[in-house]
Amino acid sequence: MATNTTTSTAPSVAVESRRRAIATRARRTARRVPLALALILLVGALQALAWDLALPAFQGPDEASHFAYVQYLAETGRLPSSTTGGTPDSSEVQSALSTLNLNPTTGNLSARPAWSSADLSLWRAAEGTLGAGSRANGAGPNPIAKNPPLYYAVMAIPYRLFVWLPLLERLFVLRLFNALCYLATIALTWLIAAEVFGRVRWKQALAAGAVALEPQLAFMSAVVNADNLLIALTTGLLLAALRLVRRGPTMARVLTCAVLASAAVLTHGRGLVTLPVLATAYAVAWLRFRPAPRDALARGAAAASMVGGAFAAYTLLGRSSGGSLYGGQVSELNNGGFNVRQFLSSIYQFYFPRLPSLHPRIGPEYGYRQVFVNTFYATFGSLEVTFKQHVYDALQVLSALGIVGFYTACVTRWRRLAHGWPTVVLMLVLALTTLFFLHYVSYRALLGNGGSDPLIVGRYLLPMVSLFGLAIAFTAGSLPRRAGPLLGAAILSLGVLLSLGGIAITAVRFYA
Amino acid sequence: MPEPAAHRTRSGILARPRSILAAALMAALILAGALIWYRPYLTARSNAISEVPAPSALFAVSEFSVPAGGRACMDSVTVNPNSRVAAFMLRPARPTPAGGPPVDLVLSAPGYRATLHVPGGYPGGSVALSIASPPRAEIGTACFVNRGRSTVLLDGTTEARTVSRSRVLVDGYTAVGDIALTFYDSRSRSLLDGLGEVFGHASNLTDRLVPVWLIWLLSALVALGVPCGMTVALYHALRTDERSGRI
Repeated sequence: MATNTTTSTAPSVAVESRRRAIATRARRTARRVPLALALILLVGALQALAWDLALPAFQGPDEASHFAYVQYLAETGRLPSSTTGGTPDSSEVQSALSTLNLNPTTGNLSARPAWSSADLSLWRAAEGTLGAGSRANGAGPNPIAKNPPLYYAVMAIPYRLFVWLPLLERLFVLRLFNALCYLATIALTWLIAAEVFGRVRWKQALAAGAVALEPQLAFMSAVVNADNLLIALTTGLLLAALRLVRRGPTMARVLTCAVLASAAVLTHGRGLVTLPVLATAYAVAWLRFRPAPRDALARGAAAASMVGGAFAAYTLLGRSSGGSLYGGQVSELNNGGFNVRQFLSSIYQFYFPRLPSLHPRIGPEYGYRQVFVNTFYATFGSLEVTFKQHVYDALQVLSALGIVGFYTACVTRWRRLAHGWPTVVLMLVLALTTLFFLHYVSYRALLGNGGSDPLIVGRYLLPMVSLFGLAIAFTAGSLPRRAGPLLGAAILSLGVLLSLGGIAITAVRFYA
Repeated sequence: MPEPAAHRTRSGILARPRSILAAALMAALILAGALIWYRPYLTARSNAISEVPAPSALFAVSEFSVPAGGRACMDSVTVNPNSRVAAFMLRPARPTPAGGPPVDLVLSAPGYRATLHVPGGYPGGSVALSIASPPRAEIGTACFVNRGRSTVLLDGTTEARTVSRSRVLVDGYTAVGDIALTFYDSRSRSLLDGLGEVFGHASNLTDRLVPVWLIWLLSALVALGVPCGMTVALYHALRTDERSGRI
C-alpha cells in the first residue's frame, strides 16, 4: 500500500509541476497580448456569440450541406459523395429541417421557424424516435462534397467531442468552434498591421477593428462553412509571406508559407489563389536576399514537395469521394465555350457601363455594387436578410470616398510604397489573383447555367479582408496627425452601428 | 512620469490628446447613430407574427382547389396563445358577380377548437380573421371547409424548398404542397415590448441550451460590450502611442 502511494505520488507531482509550468506560460503569453487587441478580440467573441443566437440552425449560406459533410465525416470517417448516395442530409438533420420548419424558412422572408414550446416538444419527441445510424446516413449526393476535406476534418474534432449533445445544441457549440477562425483572422490582421506599419498601436487597432466589425465576416463566424477556415488561412499566409519577404527566407519561414498555402488548397477550391501569392513571396524573397543556390534549392524543394503533397492528397481524396478535382473547376479552363474576349468584356461590364462596341454581358444585371457593396458588407441569412437600400447607397458612397482617399494616400506616399515594394507586390498579387479567380469562376458559371446565376457574392472577397482593414489604416494614417485617429474613430463607429444593426435585423427576421 | 492630460499646439492653444478626442468622437457617433437609426426601429409598433404553419411560395404561387361542400385540411399546425388573427389567401375558382363561396376555417387540437367564418361574396384576396386562441401552444389541424355551391381556390405552395412539415388532405386525398397560413398577434406592439418573446423563440431554437435569462444577459453584454470595447480599444491604442511618442 505504502509502495503504491509512493509510486503514484511521484508522477502526480511531475504532472502537477508541468501543469503549473503551462499555466505560468499561458499567463505570461496572455500578459503579452496588448490590451487593445484583447478588447478587439472580446468584441469579436461577443459578436460571434450574438450571431450564433440570432441565426437559427442551418440558416446560413449552404449551412445544412456543410454540416452534412462534417457529420458524415465525423460519424463514418469517410467523405460524402458529390454524385452518389441515398440522401445529402442525415435522417437526423432532415427530421430537424422538417419538424422545425427550417427548410421553408431558408431564403423565404414570409416564413418563420417553428419556434414555440409545443414545436420544441414535437422536435424532441421526433429526435427521440430516431434510430441508430440516423446521424451517419448522409452519404450524398452533397453539392459541397466537391470541397477538399480539411475544414470538415478540423470541425469533426469538436463534433466528436460533443457528439453526445442533441442536434441543435451540437450545432450551436460547433458554430462557437467555427468562430475561432474569425478571432484568428482578427489577431492575424493585428500582426500584419504591425508588420506593415510598425508597432503603431492605433493603426493596428484600426485595421484589426475594421476587420472585427466587418458585418459579413462576423456573420459568417456563426455559419458552419469552409469559407471561415479559408479566410483565416489566407490571412495567415499573407502574414507569413510578408515576414518571408521582409526578414529573409529561412527554412522555417519558407515551410510556414508552404504549409499555409497547402492548407488553403486543402480547404476550398478558392484556396488556389494562395498559390500565386506563395510563388510571388518566394520569388521576391529570392530577389531580395539572394540565398546560396544550394539553400534556395533545398528550401524550394521542401516547399514544392509540401504543396505537391497537398495536391496529391486531395486528388486521391477527390477520386475516392467520387468527384473531380475541385468539382471540375480547374479543368474547365480548357473546355470549349471559353472565349477570352467575352471573358474580358464581362469583367469590364461588371465595373463600367457597356460600351456600344461591346456585346451585352451574359447573365443578369449583376455588377460591382452587388458584390463589393451589398454582399460584401451586409447580406445575411441565405441572402434574404438585408438593410434598407439607402444603407447600401450610403456604403457605396463612403466606399467610393475611401477608394479616392486610398488612391490619394498611395500617390502622396509613393516613395514610401516604392521603398516597401515587396509588401506592396504581395498585397497586389493577393488582391488581383482573388479578383481574377472570382471573375473566372463567375464567367464559367454563367456559361454553364445559361446566364441565370453569376455565382459570386461578396463573402468570397473575405479571404482578403485583412487588406480591407490595412487599406483603411493606411489611408487614415496618411492624414494629418490629428485627423487620422478621428477618421479611424468615425469608421469604427460606423462599423459598430452596422454590426449591431445586422445582428438585430437578423434576429427580428427569424424570431419576431 | 504622469501623462499630461493635454499638450500645447503650435499656436499655444491647450489641446486634448488624440486618444481622448477619438474616444469622445466615437462614443458620440455611436450614441447619435443608435438614437437616429435604432430607436425608430425598436419603437415602431406593428402586429407581430405568432406562427407560420405554412409560408407563401417564394417564386410561383400554387392554388389548392376545394370543391363545393369539400374540405382541405393541414395537420401539424401550431396555434399559440398569442395567435389572435389567421391570415390566408382565397378566391372563387370562377369570377362571378356573386363572388366567392362562404368558407370556414376550423382549428382543432386536443382540448381546443375554434371556427372562423369567411362570408360569401368576396372577389378574392387576402383574409384576416380573429381567432379565439388556446391557453397554451397546441399542435392540431387547420381545415378549410367550403360551405358554398362553387369551388374556392386557396393560395399555397408546391415548391420543394417552401413546403412545411404539414401534410394537406383535400377531401381525404393527399395533395402535394401546403396552403399558406400565418397567425398574427392582433395587439400592436413595439420590438422593445416583444423582446421577451423574441428571446423565447431564440432559446427554443437552441433546444434551450441558452435559457431566456442568459439571452437577456448576453444581449445587454453585446449591446454595451461591442461599442464600449471598441472605443476603449482605440483609446488605449492611441494612449500607448502617445506615451511612446509614436504619434
